[in-house]
Amino acid sequence: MKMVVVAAAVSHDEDVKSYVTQAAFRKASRKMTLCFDAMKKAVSSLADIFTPERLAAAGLILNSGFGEIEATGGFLKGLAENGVARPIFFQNSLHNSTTGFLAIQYGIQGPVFTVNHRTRGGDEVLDISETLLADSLCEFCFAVTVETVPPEFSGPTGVDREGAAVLALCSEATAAKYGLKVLITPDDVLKESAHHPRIELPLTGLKSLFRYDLITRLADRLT
Amino acid sequence: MSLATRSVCVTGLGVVSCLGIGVNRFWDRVERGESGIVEGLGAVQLDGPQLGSETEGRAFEFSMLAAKEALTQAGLSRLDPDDGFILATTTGQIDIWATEFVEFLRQKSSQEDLEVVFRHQSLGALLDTIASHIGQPSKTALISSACSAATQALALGSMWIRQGKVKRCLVGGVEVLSSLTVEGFKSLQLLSSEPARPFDSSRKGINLSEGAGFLVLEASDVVKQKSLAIISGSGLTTDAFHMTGPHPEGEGCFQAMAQAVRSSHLSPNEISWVHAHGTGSDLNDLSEGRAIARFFDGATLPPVTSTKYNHGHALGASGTLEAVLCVEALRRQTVLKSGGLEHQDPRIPLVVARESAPRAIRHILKNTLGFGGINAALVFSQPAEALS
Repeated sequence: MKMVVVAAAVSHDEDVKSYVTQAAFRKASRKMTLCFDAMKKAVSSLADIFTPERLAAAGLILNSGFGEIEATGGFLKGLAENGVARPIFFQNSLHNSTTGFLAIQYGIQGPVFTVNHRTRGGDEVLDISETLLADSLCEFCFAVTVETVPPEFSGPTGVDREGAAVLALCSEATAAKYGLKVLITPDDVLKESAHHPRIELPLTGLKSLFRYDLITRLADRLT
Repeated sequence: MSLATRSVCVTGLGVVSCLGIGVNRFWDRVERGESGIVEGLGAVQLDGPQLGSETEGRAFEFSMLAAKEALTQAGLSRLDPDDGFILATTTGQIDIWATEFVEFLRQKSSQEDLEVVFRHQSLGALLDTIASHIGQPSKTALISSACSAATQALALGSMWIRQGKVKRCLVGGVEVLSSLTVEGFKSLQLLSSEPARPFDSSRKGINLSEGAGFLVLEASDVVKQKSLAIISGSGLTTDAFHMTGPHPEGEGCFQAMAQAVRSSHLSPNEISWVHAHGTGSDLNDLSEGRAIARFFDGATLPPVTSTKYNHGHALGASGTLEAVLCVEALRRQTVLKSGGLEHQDPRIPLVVARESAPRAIRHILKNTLGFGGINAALVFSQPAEALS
């Protein structure tokens, strides 16, 4: 099974400013909003393909190096300073809250995974996507990377950019079946991975995930 | 042996739980109906660091103890570069960095101090540390899909083996008790101060717990030791319904069970026992109970058990902790009782196991449900069944 990219999108802070006033996003974290926007762009680029039925059967794998650190920080802060545990912060602090939100928004009922493995996360998301597609657990799979880091953690994390990137993936055979243009081939993905070795920051062992993440690099190049 | 006929064998098990360290102790105490829950929580009792690793914390300790037990049983000393390692957790080493973060907020700790411990924040940091102590697995994944994480990890490891991506895979789930989860679940009013009573009409909620469960999975063509069980099928679905509540009719849970049994090439009639997620929360048990009843509608309803009364809910580790019990149940041909049950909820039409007892078990269906609407199901089978 050869996995190919058939749609790609990115979303940055300026793309999601209008969401703040919308009721559906009142309780959403910035990760959720950024991912929703990137997914929206990817889905609408192939609107005739991504029908509600196909979205329901799709897979979704999300990577974030530091997970829901913003909500976790907010929860711990509230607890430490006021002795108040806010349910919404707890709910959003779970690292799979963004995938849960996206699944609800897009009606995705297939396999949904959340991955948090620092610089390896993007690669792992692509590998899991390929595994699920090869096992025919889904016909299309959305690979997502997102990073948002509040100011108090920007130093320790080394993250200096925020945003979300999405790749819509399927097998080469599925792309041919629906007459979809292949944006990038598996060989290109391997080359991209090989040409960008991971560089760790000396102090923390971490680095700017959003800048170097494989999904983000591919999406940046394709959009 | 071709990939098409390759089975996924479980060859090693390891456990750290609030019921003690080691698989035999874990099984014996669950079989006797004991509960490790004290004042509503299931804390692991360790007499200080066992491995001389004070800086790595409890999640690392739990993981290493369970991983070593599992690898030893499988006859392995370490993982090779062509092996895989998947770790499941929801909070990883939060006990290390969250305390420092709170001190930092109170201006009792410096930015430099925070940065030193912050390397533990990313969940993958724990995987990398464990991996560096058990070999050089080239293929890894860190799964953080809440309570379904470890069951998803077992499903993924099985797929890697069947697809020939790895020959063997160590799959572990680990969780530590933390103020985030304890206060968080308290804020959602989901905690019970007494041992959980899954499927009981008077159930009051869940017991958070900690621990680690590790399993060695191997392709049937490379197994050196005796195969304890086969993972013969898996199902992975999502509710797309609510962030923290399950679908009221358990639709996603039903679909995950159907997928798992279908991929095992079995029918519902062939399932001998269901090990349920059964957290003891009102909504979970109702949703899952309805899904199980619907799935076995028209078939012989097998006994259903939740063991959360015994070991609590270890969130990201619950899937592997309970998978260990499933594998041992197959090996010992014994069904475990569902602890804490006095008066079964009449809205849940299941045959809940009231006693631990010998029983011919060929295939076990294991369920997991998680926040975010994530469902995962596995079928564990006797080795002879799948191999023949």
